[in-house]
Amino acid sequence: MARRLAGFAPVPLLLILAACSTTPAPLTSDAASYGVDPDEKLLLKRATALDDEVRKKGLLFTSSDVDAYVNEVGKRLVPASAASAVNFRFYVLREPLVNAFALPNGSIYVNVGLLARLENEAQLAQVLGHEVAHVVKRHSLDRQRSRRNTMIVANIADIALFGTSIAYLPAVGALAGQSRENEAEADRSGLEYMSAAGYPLAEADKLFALIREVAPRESVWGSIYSSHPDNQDRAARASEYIRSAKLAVNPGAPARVEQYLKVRYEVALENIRLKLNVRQYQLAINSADSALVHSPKSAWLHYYRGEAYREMAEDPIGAAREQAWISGRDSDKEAVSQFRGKKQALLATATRSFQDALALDEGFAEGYRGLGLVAWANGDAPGARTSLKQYLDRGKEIKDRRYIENILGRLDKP
Amino acid sequence: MNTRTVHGLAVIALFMSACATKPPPPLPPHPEVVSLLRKVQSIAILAPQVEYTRIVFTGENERLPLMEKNISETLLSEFESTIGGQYTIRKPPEDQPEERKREMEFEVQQLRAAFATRVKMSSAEEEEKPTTRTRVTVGTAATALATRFDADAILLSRYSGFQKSGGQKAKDIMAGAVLGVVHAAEGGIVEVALIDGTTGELLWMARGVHARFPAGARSTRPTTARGAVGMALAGFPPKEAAAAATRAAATVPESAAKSPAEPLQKTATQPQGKE
Repeated sequence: MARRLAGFAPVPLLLILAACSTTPAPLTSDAASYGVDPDEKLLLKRATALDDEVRKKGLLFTSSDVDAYVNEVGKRLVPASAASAVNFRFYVLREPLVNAFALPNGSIYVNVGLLARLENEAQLAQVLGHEVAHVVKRHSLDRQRSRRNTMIVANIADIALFGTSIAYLPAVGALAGQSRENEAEADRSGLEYMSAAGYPLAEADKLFALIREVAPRESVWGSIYSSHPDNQDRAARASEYIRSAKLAVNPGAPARVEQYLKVRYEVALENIRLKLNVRQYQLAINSADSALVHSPKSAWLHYYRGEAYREMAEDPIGAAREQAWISGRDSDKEAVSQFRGKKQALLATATRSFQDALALDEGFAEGYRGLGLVAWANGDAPGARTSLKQYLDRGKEIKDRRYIENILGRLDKP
Repeated sequence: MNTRTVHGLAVIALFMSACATKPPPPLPPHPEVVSLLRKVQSIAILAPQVEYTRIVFTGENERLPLMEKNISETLLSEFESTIGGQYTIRKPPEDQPEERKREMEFEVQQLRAAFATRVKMSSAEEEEKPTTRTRVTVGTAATALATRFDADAILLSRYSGFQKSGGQKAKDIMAGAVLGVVHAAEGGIVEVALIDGTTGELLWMARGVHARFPAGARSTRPTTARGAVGMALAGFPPKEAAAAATRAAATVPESAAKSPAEPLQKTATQPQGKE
């Protein structure tokens, strides 16, 4: 028994160490100590491993325009004293959840799901400034000292889900999860960086309002980018801080809407694609409608909108589940029958969207794909055959050739 | 504690060790799995997703990349030797440019995401109304990869395992002595799914586990990842009569996945007659 008890000997020591741990100094006042502490060394090692994993899994959105833009905005926000100690890099993640996070090694990730929600560069600056602050204030180290690692629990809890594109999240939680106090501090510092970079602080209020509109399931539960109750008074706290710290609010400064919308289009397309992959039809429709306000002549946006309606029509159970999921209720049979009853109307809306796409670009192959699949769903064999063949003839790289040829084969059978 | 009891607790203790969520059982096979498999000539075996973690007493758990690499190679070789005798194995071209490799890896992640979404939805339906056959489709996420590999079907797999440090084992022994159970010192779980490359439908799915217990406690469960693969693939390719039984055999007892705070004694009374 004495040997068995030996396993518990470190407990009192750990408790004492935890009690004695101090808040790490921010990089702006003590850059020299960065990466020296064994705890911080371990965090940096894990952060680098996570960076590698994200890259290897192809989870980075690799548009050079978007990448360059986000990095340009992000680097403008980093305090000079911190920039000399940490190599800040800003990445866009192919992930539809509304979220962003920072790793202690200076890697800052922002999801396409969040970028697609923002309206201008000033709001992006606020998001990035908040994440930069987590690194500058060494919040990961602070958090590491005050809690146990939960990575293994989260990893194995996910066991039966075959992993997802968000398989990195458990590790992210361990490295980038922050306390409410740290989040509040990052909000304050983010506003300082935003102010110093010359962005109008009036946008802060608008960003908080946007976040409040995020459906609970669209973001990471409890995160600062969710409509979690704790986030409701962030705007008030921010306004109070702007006044008390006498930050320059830059009233006449532009929020740089045009510059932002140029990159948001690409991001919005990716966001909708990702949503459709996980059967978030209504959320995909909402995203497409929102993007179409600024880019009404995009054949791709019309096509994805049509796809969302078509898939919703063909998957009433999935559509009902999504509806229940968004509203936090249990899915019921009545909702499924409602979607079944709306099948023709949904297919008709899908058809109009595909036709809109083709009206903008008659050589747009995917438009024919959409029309062909709608015709197939309606039992219109000749229509399906014609449109699907046009799709195969016009498409450059047909990723689902096998699937389409299988349908054509079935249509050709007597 | 006798072998029978330990065997019954193998899966239970595996999950009790680290898991707070009940993993859904594998879904039943496709209604026409046997006839559909007759049309399958080639299978693309995707690299398994492997997570292997060392659990330490202080909570500073760490992933073991070398171990993950070894397990991944073991799994691939087991898949190839078991399936390769019956089907042509398709692999990605090795000389692909980096960008194309990353894009393919992303398509694999998308397939995993689509599959996870479907499994979640269908598992909930299964719980309400259990069936012996089910039609589940992941749509074009699978067909895109099948086109890329020129394969009739895709084998998707995942492994998650752990080993415990001396301190953690000591803690388990103490807890076990009080509660009357034995915790696994190391173990893992492997899940495999075969997806039709033309329709994107799930054809068949199975699970295998392995666990190693501290000296003195014996178990007839596999003790290695290789053994867990053998367990998962034991019913492959499914025969008409055996297909329905696959799911029941691989179902994790409900008590296995409850919070570690649950009294462990309850789990010892689970049926153990499937040895």
